Amino acid sequence: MLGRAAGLALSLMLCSVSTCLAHALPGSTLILSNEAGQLRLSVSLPLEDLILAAPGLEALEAALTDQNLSAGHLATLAGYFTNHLIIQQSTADLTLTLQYAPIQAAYNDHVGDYDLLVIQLGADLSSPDRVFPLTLVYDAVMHEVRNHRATVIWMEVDAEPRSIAEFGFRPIDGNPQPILLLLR
Amino acid sequence: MPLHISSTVSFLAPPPADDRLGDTSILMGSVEVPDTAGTCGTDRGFPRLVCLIDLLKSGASEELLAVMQMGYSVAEAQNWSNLPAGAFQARPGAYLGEFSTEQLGLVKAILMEAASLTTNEGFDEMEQTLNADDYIATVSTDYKAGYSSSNSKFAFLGMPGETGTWQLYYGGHHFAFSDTYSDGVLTGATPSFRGVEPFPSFDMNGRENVPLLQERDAFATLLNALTEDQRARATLDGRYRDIIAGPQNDDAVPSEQEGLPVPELDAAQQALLLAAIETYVGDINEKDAATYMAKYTAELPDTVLGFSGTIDVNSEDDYVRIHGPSLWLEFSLRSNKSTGEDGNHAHSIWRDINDDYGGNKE
Repeated sequence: MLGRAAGLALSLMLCSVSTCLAHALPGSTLILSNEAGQLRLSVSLPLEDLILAAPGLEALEAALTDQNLSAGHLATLAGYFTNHLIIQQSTADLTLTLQYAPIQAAYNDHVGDYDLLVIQLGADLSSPDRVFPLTLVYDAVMHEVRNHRATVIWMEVDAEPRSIAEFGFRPIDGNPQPILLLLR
Repeated sequence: MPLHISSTVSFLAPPPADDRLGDTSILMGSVEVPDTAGTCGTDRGFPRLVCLIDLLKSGASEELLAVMQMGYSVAEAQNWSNLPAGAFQARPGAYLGEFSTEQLGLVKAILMEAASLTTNEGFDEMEQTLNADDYIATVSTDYKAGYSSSNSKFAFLGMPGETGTWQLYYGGHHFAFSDTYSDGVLTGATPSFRGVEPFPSFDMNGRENVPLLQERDAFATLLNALTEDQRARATLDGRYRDIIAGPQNDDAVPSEQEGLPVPELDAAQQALLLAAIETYVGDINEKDAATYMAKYTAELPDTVLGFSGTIDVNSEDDYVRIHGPSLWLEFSLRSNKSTGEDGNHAHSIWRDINDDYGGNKE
């Protein structure tokens, strides 16, 4: 139920987010939800910018559209995100598991056709009944492509998606600045 | 069960069509300032600006006034964008295509009063950027985007006058001009966005248009004048595919400076840096531009220069920025998106870290 709603809402939400884009390739969109005590996280980002940031992922360009990446590609991708994505609940790092990651064909009137990588991750919450506050440390792509920005969206069943954070590359002493995620 | 994502995600759903959008050129270069503007005298300055505004408003219909004269708020002032009219419909104001010929002449007079009259800068840059939209309309099949010089917007946020706070808002595809006044004094001329495609030049509406060529050339001249050691120290980490402090990114100016401290430039190099700054600051009227240039000159000891890409600033993803205590200036060359022609596509912005939106917060 939530999965289907998430797909529809993702389209709607990204559309509204895109009005803030400036002819640049779209940024990262992180969609969070809670499914039976497990945190679900969908990260979508343009493949072209990801490969600029991490040339070691260039092999992803050969992956077929709309199919899950191979185990080898998933492992490489997981290795990259290990260094660029951390979520903490109650100061403890959640163990994120990369579940699958298809590359999708995407289109933007001001960018044209491009490849969108959509990564699905999950993690057991240490406090399953209460998701927030969470602390997010994220600098995928933006550690190299400095105009890249990220939007974080919270989704619940039967509720409008809520944008809960929007940020760019703002390191402190060379490290990405943690973002406190709260539902207000 | 993992989330399912639709197989094709559109990143830009077409917004509802705005039936106010136009599709014809207003030919700004040919628009004549009406004789009635003579009642405001010929001395450039704030009194003439307000007089011209009063003249325009006195002849405007209630419908036109309803969209052109708005209340002041920073939230409204933040509704500017590099995007074409059809893709960003939140801009406040009246479309240029909604003014009568005489009214458009007064709009032109107002913009000429607020902006500089330097060739290829100030008002001339506005005109050439309008011509760029007319050019794109001849080659683009994206009819929803609203590429047309009709579709830039003009508004007063707050009541223009000798007292109170108000902003002269002019913006459209690749342009944001935002002069904020408080009690008759210019308190902010930023955010000031400039972009253009095609770049560096194109012929349209009976002239050659080079609205941002001077800006690019000024940056390239400066970077070429650096020694190898200076270039190495000015080279920024990472890669820039666009400016970072663009529309709706008012929080993006980093608190930490990165690049080559300007005091390490010799006098000739510092003069080139100031010349590059002036291609932006010099877009506003001469008196106010001099005030800002004096401030930025005084702040040179605490200003840095950074760049990424080529020193000729002629390739995709080339990027230059100047970051001072007050000044934030970025210039980025991006790939072409709207014309499909070879060449590049410039985005740039002048912000004043203290004076954006006149220093107002709400």
